[in-house]
Amino acid sequence: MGPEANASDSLKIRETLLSAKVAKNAPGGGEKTASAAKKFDGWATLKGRFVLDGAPPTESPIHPTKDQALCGAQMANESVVVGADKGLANVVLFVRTTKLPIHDDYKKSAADKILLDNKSCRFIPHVLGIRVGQTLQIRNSDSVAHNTKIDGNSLKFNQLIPVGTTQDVPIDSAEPQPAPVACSIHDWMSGKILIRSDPYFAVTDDSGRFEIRNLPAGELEFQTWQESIGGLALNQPDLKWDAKGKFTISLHNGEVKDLKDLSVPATLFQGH
Amino acid sequence: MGFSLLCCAMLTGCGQSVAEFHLDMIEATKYKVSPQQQQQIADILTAMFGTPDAPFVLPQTGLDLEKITLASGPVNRGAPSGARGLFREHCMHCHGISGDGAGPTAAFLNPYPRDYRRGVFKYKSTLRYDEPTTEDLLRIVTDGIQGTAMPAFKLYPQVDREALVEYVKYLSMRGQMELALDNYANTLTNQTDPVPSDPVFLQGQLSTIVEKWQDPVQISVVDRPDDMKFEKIADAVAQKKALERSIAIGRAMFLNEKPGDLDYGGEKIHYFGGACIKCHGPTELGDGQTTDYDDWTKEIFDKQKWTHGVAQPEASTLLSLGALPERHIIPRNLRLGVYHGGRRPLDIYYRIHEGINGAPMPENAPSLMSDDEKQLVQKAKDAATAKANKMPEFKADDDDSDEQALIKQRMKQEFVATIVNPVREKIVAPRIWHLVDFVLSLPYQPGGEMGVDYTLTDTIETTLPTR
Repeated sequence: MGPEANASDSLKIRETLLSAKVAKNAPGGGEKTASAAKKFDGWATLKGRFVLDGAPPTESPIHPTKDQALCGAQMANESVVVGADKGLANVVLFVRTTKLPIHDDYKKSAADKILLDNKSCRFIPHVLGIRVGQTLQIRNSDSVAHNTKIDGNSLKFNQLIPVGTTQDVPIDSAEPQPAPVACSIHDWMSGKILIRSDPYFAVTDDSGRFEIRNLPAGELEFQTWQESIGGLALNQPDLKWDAKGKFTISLHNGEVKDLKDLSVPATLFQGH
Repeated sequence: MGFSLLCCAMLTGCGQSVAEFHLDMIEATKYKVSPQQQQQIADILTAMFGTPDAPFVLPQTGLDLEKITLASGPVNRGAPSGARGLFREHCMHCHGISGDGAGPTAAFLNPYPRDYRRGVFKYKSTLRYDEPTTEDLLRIVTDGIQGTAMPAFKLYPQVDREALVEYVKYLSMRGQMELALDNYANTLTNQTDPVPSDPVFLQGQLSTIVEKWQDPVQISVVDRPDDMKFEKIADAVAQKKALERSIAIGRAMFLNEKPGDLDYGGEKIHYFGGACIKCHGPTELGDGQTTDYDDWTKEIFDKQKWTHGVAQPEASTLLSLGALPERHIIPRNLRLGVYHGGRRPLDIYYRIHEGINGAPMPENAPSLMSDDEKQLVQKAKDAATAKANKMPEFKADDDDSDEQALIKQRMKQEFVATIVNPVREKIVAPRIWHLVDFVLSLPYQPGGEMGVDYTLTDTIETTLPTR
């Protein structure tokens, strides 16, 4: 089951581990850190629209197995939401480069409470973006009990949210990618939460549109993400895309970069 | 699946070949770890943790290599320095050589044995998402888990049991390190990008894992208020009435989903609503919600977890990658009088307060407060946080590594919790004790497994045991 370790390679690694004098504040190799050489000169805006190219994948509807009086007998599967104009909703876009300057405009929302509602046995919004320092406000607007369960790398949460109540969850660490949100009682309920240290992220709306303002102007690495397929490995020629749905872009001070329609081939969804 | 089990038995049971740890192939598949990266991860894990016959730990882990050595290796009761191979003798056939909970006999058991590799343990005295204490693990090994195949090793010497506990922690840390490396490999752009083996990176990843094991926070348990210390009530009639009142309140809380006044036959008590019946059922038989999974099963069989760019494989593929057949998790039938985590009132208190890590059972303590009470607790928390923000040991320096910053943050949270918890627990504790009284009375009620009418002469402890 998987490769066997190579004894001599392992020994070499062990020797370096034992002889290493690790500095107290050495970086642990987490996300890509903006090196001292990276300069950000001013602010820019990035916008665009993710559009599905091809037939949307057929998703079978969900049949609630509990509290049907409230939840209904059937509800739409929200894992791939395509708008009337082929816009791909709930696509997540965020900056991977870390230690970025934060524009003053974002200071006023730094301690905001962002609402995640349990309503009609769904999570609203289906994909939520929040930053470290803000508070996640989980509400139960239904007349039945819910428990909200979040399984992130750092944010782990499973509390009962009684009928009509709200629970505040302080957000103190970022997640490398969106984390699943579930309810154990109504096990078809599913949502996603994106937690970042900076405000440079967006979740596309019903038309597939996103706009991120006041980005530090310079070279930035972005990650796209859609819940069915993970990163969107697009073939868009202007930007340097990689196989895991990341792209790098250089923005200039005062620039409003419109990526226009970013075509997402429907074939990416096959098999998922 | 049958084929892979046979392979396991042959590799580790018959002494024909050297026992080896194996990678978690499901996670490797899920995180798109290339074969080259898998090889690098296998090499790193061997460097950091050794092999089943020759274990190794870095001093940073704080693990006792002597104890681990005792538990490791082939079974050898006659070894001159003391019996060795304890894990392989007593544990491996269920828990697997790598502690994956999928040993040769695992498939026959319900529930399945524990997979240590995520560092998630259900029955402990610590906060829900914290690691268990060594005492918690020792208690499981000593007393077993009633209602499951986990036996009690009470008759074995303390030294042996401690060695096994240390080995469990060792396998757990190794598994958590593997998962961290898989996660990292997933962020790499190309299949050929290497998983770094430099000490700075590895020790950084290890430090976040080790820190959680070193200082898990215990659930603060506040003793019953005096009017609920039933054996202290001298008059027998008054004593019975007091206990029955507590049980009635607990029952009303258990059965009430919506906010309102509790219907228990006494003076008005407002309740915020619970959800016990949604899973445990209105008859407490555990039949309310039977389609959910525990976290270990969800990682494999829940489509929501396959979001790293790899489509969830077919069930047969998952089984061939090492998964055990999919099984739902069934809420506890509270009428049995069998509780996996123990039947002391304290154990039930822990389960209700923090829920059960790895299982759908949620934390209930935060919801057992009115809005006013929550605000009171929030005020205490704000004051404590303001104080912590001024303390130099929690201040994040600019040149701190990501892991250093995370550790400082956790220490700050724990500091705040030590101030806030007494405030919250004073409010919440009596309410949890009502639920404990109700739950523990169920086997003795009509319809319970004990089958007799409940009387106070039955041996139900009604006070906190001395610890």
